[in-house]
Amino acid sequence: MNFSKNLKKNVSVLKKMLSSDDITFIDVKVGNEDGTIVFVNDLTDKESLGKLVLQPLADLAESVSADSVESAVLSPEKERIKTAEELAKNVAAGSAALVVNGLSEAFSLGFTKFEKRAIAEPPTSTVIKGPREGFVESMPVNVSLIRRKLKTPDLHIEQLKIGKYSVTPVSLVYVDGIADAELVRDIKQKLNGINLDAVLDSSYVAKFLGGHKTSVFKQVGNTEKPDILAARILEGRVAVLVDGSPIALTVPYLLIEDFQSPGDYYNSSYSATLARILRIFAVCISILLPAFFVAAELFHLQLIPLAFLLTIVNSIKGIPLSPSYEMFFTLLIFEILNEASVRMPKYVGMVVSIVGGLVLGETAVTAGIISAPALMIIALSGICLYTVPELEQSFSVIRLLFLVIGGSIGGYGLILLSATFIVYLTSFENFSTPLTAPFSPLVPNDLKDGIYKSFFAEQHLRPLSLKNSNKVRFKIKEKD
Amino acid sequence: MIKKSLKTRQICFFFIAFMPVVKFFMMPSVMANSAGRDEWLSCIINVLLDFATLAALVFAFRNVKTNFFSLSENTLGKVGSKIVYALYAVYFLMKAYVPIAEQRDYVELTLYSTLPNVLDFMPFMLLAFYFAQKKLRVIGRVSDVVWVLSASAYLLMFSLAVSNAEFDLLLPVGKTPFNKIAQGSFYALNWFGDAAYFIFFVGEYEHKKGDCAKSVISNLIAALSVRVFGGIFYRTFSSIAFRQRYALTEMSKYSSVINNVGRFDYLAIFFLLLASAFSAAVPLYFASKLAVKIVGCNSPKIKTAVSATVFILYTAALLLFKEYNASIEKFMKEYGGYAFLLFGNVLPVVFAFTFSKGATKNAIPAH
Repeated sequence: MNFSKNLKKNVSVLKKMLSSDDITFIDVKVGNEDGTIVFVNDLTDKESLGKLVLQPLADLAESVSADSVESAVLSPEKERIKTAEELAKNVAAGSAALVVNGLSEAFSLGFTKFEKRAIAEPPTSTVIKGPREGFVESMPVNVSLIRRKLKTPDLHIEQLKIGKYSVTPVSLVYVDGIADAELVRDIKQKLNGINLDAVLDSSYVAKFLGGHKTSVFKQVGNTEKPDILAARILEGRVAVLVDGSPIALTVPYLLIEDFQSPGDYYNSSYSATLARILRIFAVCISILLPAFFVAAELFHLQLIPLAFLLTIVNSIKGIPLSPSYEMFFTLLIFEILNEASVRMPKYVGMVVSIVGGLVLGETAVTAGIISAPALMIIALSGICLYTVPELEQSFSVIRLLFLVIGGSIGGYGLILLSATFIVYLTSFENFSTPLTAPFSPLVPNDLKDGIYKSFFAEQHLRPLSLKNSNKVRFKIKEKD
Repeated sequence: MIKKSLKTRQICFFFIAFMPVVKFFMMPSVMANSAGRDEWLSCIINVLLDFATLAALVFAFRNVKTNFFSLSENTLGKVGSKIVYALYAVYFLMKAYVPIAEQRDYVELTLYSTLPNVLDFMPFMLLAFYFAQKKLRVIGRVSDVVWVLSASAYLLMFSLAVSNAEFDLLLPVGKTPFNKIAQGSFYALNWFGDAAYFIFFVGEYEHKKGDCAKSVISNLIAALSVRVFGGIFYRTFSSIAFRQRYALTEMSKYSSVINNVGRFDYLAIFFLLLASAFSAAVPLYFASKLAVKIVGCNSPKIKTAVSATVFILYTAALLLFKEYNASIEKFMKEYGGYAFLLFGNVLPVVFAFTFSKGATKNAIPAH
């Protein structure tokens, strides 16, 4: 509904729309005319509102017009609004509104202020060397953190609002001239297609950016660290920030990027390469070891060296469960402890670790319910999975699947399941980027930052696995 | 951004990763049965035949940018092409029979003693069906991954087995009558004729200078690994080589390292089984694609239904004829060679030189 020049009528319409108790309507003087300021009590910086709006308006001497009011108000964010619906939306989002008698336009003034968490090191990606700041739940703070890393006019931030009721600000962040224009357009199109009541976290958006709805694998990269985000943007990726979420999304996503820890880029190339090999090895152990152990026990005893076989035979003597049930049972206990330790208050967490990990495990072995090798294998598998925490959810499901197949069909089943995953992963694409690049399809240039981490001086090209419009990072100087 | 066509490198990896491994199960004993210590000469005849076929194909198609299906339709017309597709679909189903059957038996005999064979055989058919639903580029991408596993497995197997091989067992060379050597070669044709796959890659990869040499060399490397495997196999078992039906598990078990640390060669065997699963699925992949082409429908659902029908019928046939497996293998060995020679070597070369004459320069995606 369009505003009229009658203040009382406009205010009554706004009061109907904004009937909540935390919304304040204050009558003010605008020069020689009456006016009303509307704002959400707990979202507005009242001190700034008084200094930058109320005081100058009271001092307004000239005859009141839309132009004179706009120039008198000292707010850096001001917008003329013609309809009551739009103004109500802005007020609900935290802006203050000014309605003046005799004017058919109202003003939306940006004075949003709310409590936010301090910038801290993200618990999911701690580093020994390198920056320790992480994103918080506030979009402006997160944008400022990125701007501090990339002080270039080519850094583009495009804002969208998503969510019927949450009207959540969502930003696309990319470097113009590096990010592919078609990629940016595709992402924007997908974001505009989101039709949800509310977007409460970036994970809501991530599900829409992924092309395969039922996939167990991640399809969108994420990070809580501005330095990592800046590096990814400079490789040609596009970031998506969601207000209210400390986790920024990056697309396109490559599987290998989760095996690359933030610390790799601040340590020597040798230790980074070793660490990456270790992570891949650990993930393989985590997924395959329980399944192969059960398969070997049930179907392929010849795989186990004789001395070790005797140890196993001694340890499983008297165990009431079959090898596959025993492994399932142990994995079940591990998953329950894991779930409980995440949800439990911190001060009882230590007790759970001791009771669960030591007492329960030790007692179960002593009581003859499970064998020591099974316990050790699940413990090792559980620890190994956390070398790549970003993929923990996907891999724990896959580990269970491998265990089912290993326990029912044995080693050949595991081979066929691995083959199926190879076909699945190699055919998997999102935003025309293969998930398994740079290994399949092989992109030799990108192997410099794959498992092997080369020196920065050798990485003169941006990743060719990704869509980017500028392939060259820096030119190599020719030697004399 | 990665272009969606195949790369020459992937074709090379395809030959290295998938082609040798199916020749490691039964083929060495089949050749040894006919040609004895000169089984390596039988093998070399087949290798040279494949090598010549591939070289001719690569040479004839070097400037062709249109795929096989378009080439065929341009030259033979729609009906003629469909007849060719049908014949090749039958050929691929025939070609897949022995590798799948021997793999099934191998898995049952060496890895399981108590499991019903359906439990290990059906998952393979499911994998092959799933694989057949993917585009051609997935073959290339899978090759990019699997060749590393295959190559490391070959190295491990060879290094474990070579210490037990007695090289003087090869001597004297050529003492076996030539007809026996030729017979060994003929009987093993089922496992060769891999160059025929190349016709489905035509127009699907970006041709660059030197690609012909790369493709042919990769085929040669693949052939060489088969040859080395066969050589070590015969030198290990000598006159009882023909009794070793599943060479793969027999080769390395006498290594002294195995006695100390357990059969860790099974790790290599598992890698090779993974490669051989793909290798046995490749003919079914092409048979399924050809069946879809014969039906000639673009609807994804109908394509899947056609492919599913092919797989269901083939699985049923494999299960029903399991009792007659030995007879079928014997038939394939003694008479199948004519068909394998015709479809695996002769016809691809004929197609190459006739189709490439009228080839257009515009690439049309095949799948």
